[in-house]
Amino acid sequence: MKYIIAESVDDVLRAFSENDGKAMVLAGGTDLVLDAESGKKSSDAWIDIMRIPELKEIKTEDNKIVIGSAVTLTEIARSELIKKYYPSLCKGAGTVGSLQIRNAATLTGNIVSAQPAADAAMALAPLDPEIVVVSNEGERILNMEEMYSGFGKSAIDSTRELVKEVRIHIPAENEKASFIRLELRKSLSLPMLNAAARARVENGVIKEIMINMAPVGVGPKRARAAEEFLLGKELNEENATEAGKLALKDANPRSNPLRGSKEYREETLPVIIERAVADIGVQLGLL
Amino acid sequence: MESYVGKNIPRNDGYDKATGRGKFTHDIFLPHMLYAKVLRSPYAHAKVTSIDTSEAEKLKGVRAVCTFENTTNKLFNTSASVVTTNPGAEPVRDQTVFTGEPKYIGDEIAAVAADTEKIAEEAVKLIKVEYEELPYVLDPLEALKDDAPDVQPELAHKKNICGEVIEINFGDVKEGFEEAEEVVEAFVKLPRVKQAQMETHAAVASYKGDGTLEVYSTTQTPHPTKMIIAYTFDLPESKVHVKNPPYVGGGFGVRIGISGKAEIIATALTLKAKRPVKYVYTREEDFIASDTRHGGYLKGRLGAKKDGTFVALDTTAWLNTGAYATFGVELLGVCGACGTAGTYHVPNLHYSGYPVYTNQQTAGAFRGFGTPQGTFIVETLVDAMAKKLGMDPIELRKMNTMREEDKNWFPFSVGSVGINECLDRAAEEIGWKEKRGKCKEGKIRRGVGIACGTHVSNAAPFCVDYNAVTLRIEQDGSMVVQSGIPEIGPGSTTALLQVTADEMGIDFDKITMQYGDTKAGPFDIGSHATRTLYTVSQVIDKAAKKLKADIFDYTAELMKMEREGMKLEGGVITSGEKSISIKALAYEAHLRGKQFIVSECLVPPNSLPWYAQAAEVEVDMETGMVKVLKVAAAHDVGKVVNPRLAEGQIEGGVIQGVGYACREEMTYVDNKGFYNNGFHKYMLPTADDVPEIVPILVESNDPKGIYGIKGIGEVGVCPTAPAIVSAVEDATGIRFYEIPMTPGRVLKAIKEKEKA
Amino acid sequence: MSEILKCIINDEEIEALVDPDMRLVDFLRERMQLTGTKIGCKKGECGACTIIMDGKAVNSCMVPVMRASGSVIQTIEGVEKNGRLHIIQEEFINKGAIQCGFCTPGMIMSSKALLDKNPSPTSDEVKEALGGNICRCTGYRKIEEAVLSAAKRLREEV
Repeated sequence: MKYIIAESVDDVLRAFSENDGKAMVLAGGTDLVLDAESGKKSSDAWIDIMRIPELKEIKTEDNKIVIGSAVTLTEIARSELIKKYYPSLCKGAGTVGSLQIRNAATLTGNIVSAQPAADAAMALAPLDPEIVVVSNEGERILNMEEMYSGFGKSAIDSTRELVKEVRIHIPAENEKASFIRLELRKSLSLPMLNAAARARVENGVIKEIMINMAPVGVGPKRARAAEEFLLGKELNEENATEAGKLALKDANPRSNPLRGSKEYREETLPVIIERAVADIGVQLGLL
Repeated sequence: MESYVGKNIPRNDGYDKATGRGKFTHDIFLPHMLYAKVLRSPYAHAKVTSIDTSEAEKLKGVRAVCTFENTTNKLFNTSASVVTTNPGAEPVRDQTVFTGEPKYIGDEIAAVAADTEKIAEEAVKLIKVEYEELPYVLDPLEALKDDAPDVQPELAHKKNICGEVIEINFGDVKEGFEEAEEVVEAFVKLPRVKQAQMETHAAVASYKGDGTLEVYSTTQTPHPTKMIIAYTFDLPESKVHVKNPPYVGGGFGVRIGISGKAEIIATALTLKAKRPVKYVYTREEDFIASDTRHGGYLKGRLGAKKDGTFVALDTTAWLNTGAYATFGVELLGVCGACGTAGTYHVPNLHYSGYPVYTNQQTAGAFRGFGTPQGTFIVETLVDAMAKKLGMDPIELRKMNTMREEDKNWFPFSVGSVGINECLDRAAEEIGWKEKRGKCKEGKIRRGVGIACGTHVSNAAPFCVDYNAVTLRIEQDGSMVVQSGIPEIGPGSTTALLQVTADEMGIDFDKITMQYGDTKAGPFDIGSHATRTLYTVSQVIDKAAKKLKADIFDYTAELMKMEREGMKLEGGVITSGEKSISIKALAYEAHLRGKQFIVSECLVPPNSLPWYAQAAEVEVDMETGMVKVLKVAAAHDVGKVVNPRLAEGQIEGGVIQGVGYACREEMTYVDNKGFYNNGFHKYMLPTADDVPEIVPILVESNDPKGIYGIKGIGEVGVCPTAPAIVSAVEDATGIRFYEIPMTPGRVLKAIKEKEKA
Repeated sequence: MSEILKCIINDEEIEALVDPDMRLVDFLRERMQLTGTKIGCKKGECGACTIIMDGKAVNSCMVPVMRASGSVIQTIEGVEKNGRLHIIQEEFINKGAIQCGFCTPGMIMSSKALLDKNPSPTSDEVKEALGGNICRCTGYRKIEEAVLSAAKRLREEV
């Protein structure tokens, strides 16, 4: 095995073409190292992207927050810039694994490893990010749903494509997001369920809303029925409760021997969706 | 004089452990050493119809391949029970090093020793095995049915019963129930949980052509481990040297005897390869292929008079001991003796304990050794009785707990009893009077609960339990204590030196202990049964008295000092006006060809430690989440030798009990085995999920222990789960008869109650 | 294929030929004989192998060895200086934060990474820093106490 330490995005693209599908991007490595050991993923070379200066930044650009793909989850969780606009993303990034994991792992890695209930990816999902992917074919921009190609599967081919950065719009004044996690313990555990939401509310009425939830399907699944119901309605407790119930329409949870049966997840999904929506109301001083 | 006993002396292995310089078995690297990997059965029950190791043997770097075909098939038992069963009874010997008829998913078929771990792993994959699948049984109640598959057809006592059915009878339980005015019944289901000690099982075994075998091991019982290895491979015990290096990364009972099978497998391979072989269990192997706590079922009936006086208690346990006995039989005994018959004075008692074979991994010793299970059913019944009688659960307990003068089922006296003080102090700390039984409403509800019980301070007289030590004075008057005990974490080796220092009158920092090694000291059974401090302090006391007598006799003669009234304090021997330091004396003796050295051997008495824990919980009625807010843990452990170490034992036990009550559970998936193959899939508590714990030390003066000491190691975990269940009942009005109280179970019960 | 690793471990410059398949923890334990760093799971699920790499606590079992190139690494062996224990080590001993000792090096490294950056952590910050370090012996209470006490002593020393 070869270990390539890339110092620029060009280095990565060159490594892609030189190794023709046999060299894989290595970000935090907290999933890939294990997948390589179990034989789930194999490659002849790793391209370490964690030292590429342009990927290590959190910044604002063109009225967007830009998070480079070599930014660690700890850096996101502690970023004053992100905390100012989306504390829920800090919270989501700050709950993955453990501090040691977060000191290595990245937000994009959390998406590309495609674990449906990944907490950082979940917190990001309703922020409707633009995800910038580069390859020797050029650059393309994907939305969150396009990042997943199936249950536990990423749409990104890490031997030919590099996720360069994530761009998130700066929220309006009356726009807030939330993240919530139903957990067996705080550290070193995947959630039983998690959910995140973002809403823009004018005069108490919801003008824009996105709600995601997992693990109830592929990736951070959109709760579309709940969103449709809430759009144009007042943000209050009754509507939040009703939205919770409607979330079940888009959810197909499976049973897990540890993290809850299908029945349990169906029973509690409405509760956490309700809490995620209500939390936005609390942040806006409406509830 | 008590200069050290009762004080917070920092542990003497602190430096080694805080600097990373202390060695564990994982850290042993010997020259020319090979690495082992094991081939395990993918089936719960099967027969190997063919095994072909030729490809594996051909792989470069492979030095030995052992299977059931080329390794001894002598029957043995990995637990120390095989060498500590009392005369008259036969220990269960029901397993072999490798097997051609695997009896659980994970059972050992073969092993490879190779130059590197990677090569060994690759070689294991090259072993071709064909299996014929056989019928299997997973549940202990199913296993007792006539048509269930037989797990150990030739060795079982009766249909899938391992060893024997344990029976305890005291008084006449039938008459007792006739006398009873109120009767309550319960049936509970308890989970299989894992010790999850931090250092996985490991051994480095090195056999040499001269017939000597050296084994570095994670065992918590070096001498019994030596005996099991010698027995299994027909080696003289004097040629088998077992040692901790000297540290062991936890135990909690999981390696009383062989560590999983690490020492046995490493030995089989080194015997073949004639080179040192290191076998370290992966975390997955440790989880799925070594002893757990026994899960299973218990039922019980409790009869009382209208005033609350208990008159009859009848309990039965059916616990899942898995494919092999290990400690199955003994554990069912302790479950009955301590768990069901120990706490309360009940004139009419009956208990039946069924150790049941199933096609699952073995269950054996885990902190509490049956007492948590027995305590759970009894405390469930006592709470039910309190409810039925409309009495305060603490008042009901206090009027029925054992008293010093009581005749009880145990073959030894009750001794000092601090249980009612434990109940009072735990209750006060948790705020029982203000909080218990208050109206609970809303989405988030709080409640408090309590439970109490007892255990033992060693295993005598239920099994062979004795120890021997050698004490010697060095030529400069400093002192060495030699003992076969290990240091698995509690700080026994520190506390014992505190006792020794006071017994001898020699400064703590002048005394060293050699331990964790069969060559360090004569036979000692090791760390189990809450015994190490309690029993070893007794034999040290006996030896120290003899050593001091020898020193005094010699001093009297040499120094022409009056023997009568001679004493040794602070390292100085005095008699009347005259004195000499032990340092000067020891050297004078040395110049005259004399060293002060004694060995003593002792079968200890037994004492009952008592405890009560009160818990406060918060329940989220919408999600079923139970959060334990606080546990007040009051423990009568006799005289406390080192309060900080004692608190550490209690806090550690409580946290394991919190896990047992709320989160920890080994979940079996049919055809795949246990789901919980790592920390990520096993919800033991982490640092950011622990409640407030208030340890309360109640020091009753035990007449049998040295300085009044009783055992402490296991007791912290014993009452925690029933205390938390009681608190959840107080919060929600729902009694749980199955643990852990996972969010799924709790929410289901809440919804059922809402419907009803 | 082997590659050259250059890094600083416990204040010493290291140059070694390594197989990039190797994880940092194996390099430290087997090649450097720094066995104070423990392996509890080798899956990033227990924290026993925690070291400080460029100022941050990481699980050395999850670090491909070549990622250490150019890094400054501190292991438990580098915490004690000239036979003098670090205050954190002293407080772990004094407060009863050590039992079996297997998680201790990782716990101390996590604690040190925290206190190096944050001299006045709150109880929650300590819990966050230790959340990835499993201890099965102590119940964590005395470990938290040791870290808070060490922080206080370190502040007083400055």
